[in-house]
Amino acid sequence: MPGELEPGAVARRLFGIDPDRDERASQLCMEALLTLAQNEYRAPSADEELASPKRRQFAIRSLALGHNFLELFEEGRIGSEGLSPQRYGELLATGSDLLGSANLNLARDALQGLVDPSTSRGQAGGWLLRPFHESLLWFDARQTRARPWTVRQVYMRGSGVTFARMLVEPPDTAGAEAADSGRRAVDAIRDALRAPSPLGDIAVALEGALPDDLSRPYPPEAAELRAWEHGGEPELGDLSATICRHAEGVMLQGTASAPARLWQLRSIMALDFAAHVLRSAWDRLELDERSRYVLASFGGPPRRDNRLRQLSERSYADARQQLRRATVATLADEMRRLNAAGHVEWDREVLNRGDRLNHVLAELTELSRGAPPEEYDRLARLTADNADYGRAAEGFRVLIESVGLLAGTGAYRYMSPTPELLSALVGALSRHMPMTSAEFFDRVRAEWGLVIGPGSGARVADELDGVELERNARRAEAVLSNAGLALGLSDRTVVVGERAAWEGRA
Amino acid sequence: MREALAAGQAGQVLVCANEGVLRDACDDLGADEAGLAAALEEALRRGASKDVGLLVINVNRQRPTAPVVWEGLINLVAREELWEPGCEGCPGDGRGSSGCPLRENAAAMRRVGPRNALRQLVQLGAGEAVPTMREVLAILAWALSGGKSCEQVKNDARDRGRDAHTAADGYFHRALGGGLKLESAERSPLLAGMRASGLGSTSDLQADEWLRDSQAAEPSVQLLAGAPSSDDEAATPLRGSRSPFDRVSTGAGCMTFNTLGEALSTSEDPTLVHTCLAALVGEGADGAQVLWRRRLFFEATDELGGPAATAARLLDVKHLAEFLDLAGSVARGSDEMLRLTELIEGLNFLVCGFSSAAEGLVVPDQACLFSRDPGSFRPARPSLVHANVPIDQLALRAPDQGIVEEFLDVDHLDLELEALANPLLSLRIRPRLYEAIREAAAFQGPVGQGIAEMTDLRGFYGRLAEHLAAGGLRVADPESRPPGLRPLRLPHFA
Repeated sequence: MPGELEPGAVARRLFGIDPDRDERASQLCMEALLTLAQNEYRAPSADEELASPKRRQFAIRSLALGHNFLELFEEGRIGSEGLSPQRYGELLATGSDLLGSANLNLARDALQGLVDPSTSRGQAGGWLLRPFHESLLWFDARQTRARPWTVRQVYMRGSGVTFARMLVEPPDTAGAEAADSGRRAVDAIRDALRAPSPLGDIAVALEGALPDDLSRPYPPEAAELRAWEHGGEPELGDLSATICRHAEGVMLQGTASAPARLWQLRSIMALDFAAHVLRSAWDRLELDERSRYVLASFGGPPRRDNRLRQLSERSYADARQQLRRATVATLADEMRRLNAAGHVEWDREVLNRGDRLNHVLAELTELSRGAPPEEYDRLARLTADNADYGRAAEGFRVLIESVGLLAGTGAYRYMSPTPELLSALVGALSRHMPMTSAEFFDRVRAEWGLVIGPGSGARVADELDGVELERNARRAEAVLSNAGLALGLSDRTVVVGERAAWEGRA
Repeated sequence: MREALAAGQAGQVLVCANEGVLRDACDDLGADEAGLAAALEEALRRGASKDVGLLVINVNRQRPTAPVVWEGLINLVAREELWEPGCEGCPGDGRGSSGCPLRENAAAMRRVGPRNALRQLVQLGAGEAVPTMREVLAILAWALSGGKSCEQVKNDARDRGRDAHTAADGYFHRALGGGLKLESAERSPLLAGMRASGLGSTSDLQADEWLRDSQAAEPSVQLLAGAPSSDDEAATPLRGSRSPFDRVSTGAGCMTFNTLGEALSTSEDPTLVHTCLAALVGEGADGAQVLWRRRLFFEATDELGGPAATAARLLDVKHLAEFLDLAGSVARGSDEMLRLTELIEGLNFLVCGFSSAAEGLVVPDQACLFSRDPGSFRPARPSLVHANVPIDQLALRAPDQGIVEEFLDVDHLDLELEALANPLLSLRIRPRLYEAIREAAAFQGPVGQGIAEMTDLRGFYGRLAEHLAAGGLRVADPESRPPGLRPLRLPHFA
């Protein structure tokens, strides 16, 4: 049983869900889609068990990634030539023709074009394809020395399972409308992932030849079951409602192709997660409405002359600082709560790696129940300084980085949404499209806390000349127009999302 | 709107409204007036639509560059009786005077070459955004006057003589936002579209050489550079100047383009060369080189090989003239099979790196298309093919025809590539997309990404993929020689 003051437990207490620095947008989305696909795009009924998202797809994976994932699998024979799975994998990995096939190397090259570039690092087991067809979805895999490949958590950490649950069966606190939105979104996801495709034909044919052992589903692990249950917990009601609404917007928008919608879904899920994490920190710190923002900067002069960009850098740094402060405050709350309950074995509640927290544990043991709040704050700060409590801030960073919201490097990072991310924002709001650019910027502030133009009421307006925010808004409009997301009308109104608007909307 | 439609049953009613307002009205009326919504959609797509008792005209299709409108606009602002003779004490009167930039601008605009060149730029800008008449007039007014009154011009001439006015006051520079703050220029979509032409920043070896050595150019270009004739006065920096527009400001005082070029090419005074180099490159768009290229675009079209060649040489949008010609030709009903084939080649290269029209229009699998990111700077990989459309089932159309031409002054600034004679399966091609397609066909290389047209392109192929049945497992391989779709056969496991 993990201690109640361990970083994961504190993060769950604060955010309701635990962000992880290894879990980027692609892994989050892939795990969610796998959970949906393995469970036939619905919640298991009372007498059914959750199906694990762990899907191998070792044959198509070998072809697509040029690496033999069937290495050391010798059981069973394939085709008239009686190929072993290992030999089959070897031939696929090299794109060689086999069993009467022709031009399989071209199929391999085409599949390699679908590799998600944000995942292509480290072992090939962590590489993913863009999630454009059900047959191209697979779970992280790992190979330990002289052992066959197995599917297991590498970068996927369970949040995707929770997200899938929030879509198919959101908690009651999310409201009935969220359940309806979620159902429509999931239906559209299913249709998009199962749309006829030559890629699907290839994957189904290659996987179908494997012995049953290699395609048998994995039983769910306890952690996966917990993650699933967690998605139905009341405290995630707001996040569930947001995800269902945005996923529905993305998946039901007009004109965009199925792959474009699925890619936007990936971005919006991660962005919603990041926004939820930040909003939870703002709530804990009881920040006033004017202080709840991050500033997005679009183009403009070089950094040294670009005050808006400098303030955007600061707003990003502030956001990370707010996450740390909220974590420390929650840790202090938990210490106080445990101490009030009495008889605490502090060394079991805290993760004391390398005995770095011995001095804090000693002080906690001596702490009287009536100790002033400042004392708890001090001990919480000491604990956070000497242990790994920065995961929320790091998780937040990797999420916004992987969706294309973060630009710059090192200390000069700032918020600047890419056109791709803007298309996801427009898609998420497609139910309300088209709208003017001013309305769009207001919505973006309300939904994700991003300030783009004037009139947001955010505190940053006190530090900037109004003209600078106005210019920023004009530049954002230009980016939207250049990406085909907005249209300048003759009366100078910029209309956003005309293409994304729902066909036949009410 | 409900009242107007009811009144329309008994007589004629004219309703004028902006697009957004009309759309909202249609939404509010809902199914009661489904015919109106359909007619509005059709009019927005095709320019006009006619149903029983209902005519919808999209007045956005009225183009300021339609021949009759453009002539009228230029005559309105530059007509002779407005500017000639000059006001009392005009510095433009008399040989050797400093010259009046306002009158010179108006005189230039009355000439066929400059007014056509300006029209071409406005056509480009109007192809990207819907310009209002007010916006066009504002740009013309700025091009003519640069916001200066006669009084200011006279005072400047009195105070600074021939140094007072230079090529920076010329219509060829002002029409592209010269003299405006960047923020002001950014506010006009039309001006932004014109500036995106790259006029001034696009180099041309010969044109630039003429600046450094105008003696190498034809006499007409020498006149533009302010080259002295044999009987001109003794050597001064403005020797040979005939107009404010052959002069540029430098750190060493005002001089003609010719003098500047001479100093850069032959002077042994390093300080002077350095000063002239700074003036040549300038800051932002005001360098002498930019001014020179812009002036040549407007006033040396014959010397550069004609309007089409001039546009190809001095604009970023190299195929603008060709596009306008094609749009006009298609509108007149000409058969353009050859150019259609070139377009298909370019489109095939953009979407799957396969530069041949032999298989018609190749429609890739949507996942491969999304990953390809048309026009991006990355080598194309083989794409799985969803289907292909034979070339005889593709056609080029000009959108503004039929009743649109009856009611509005149109200018053909866009084209539609229509597949299977189905208007829903059409791709709107504007100058920039045409440029990308032609560049892709010609050079088989990247054409830049992120432009709005690539979104249109994905939408077009998405509609095609939805409409067409999948045609078996085939791969478009960029490396295949000769180009052809290659069949893919899966292993037999039975």
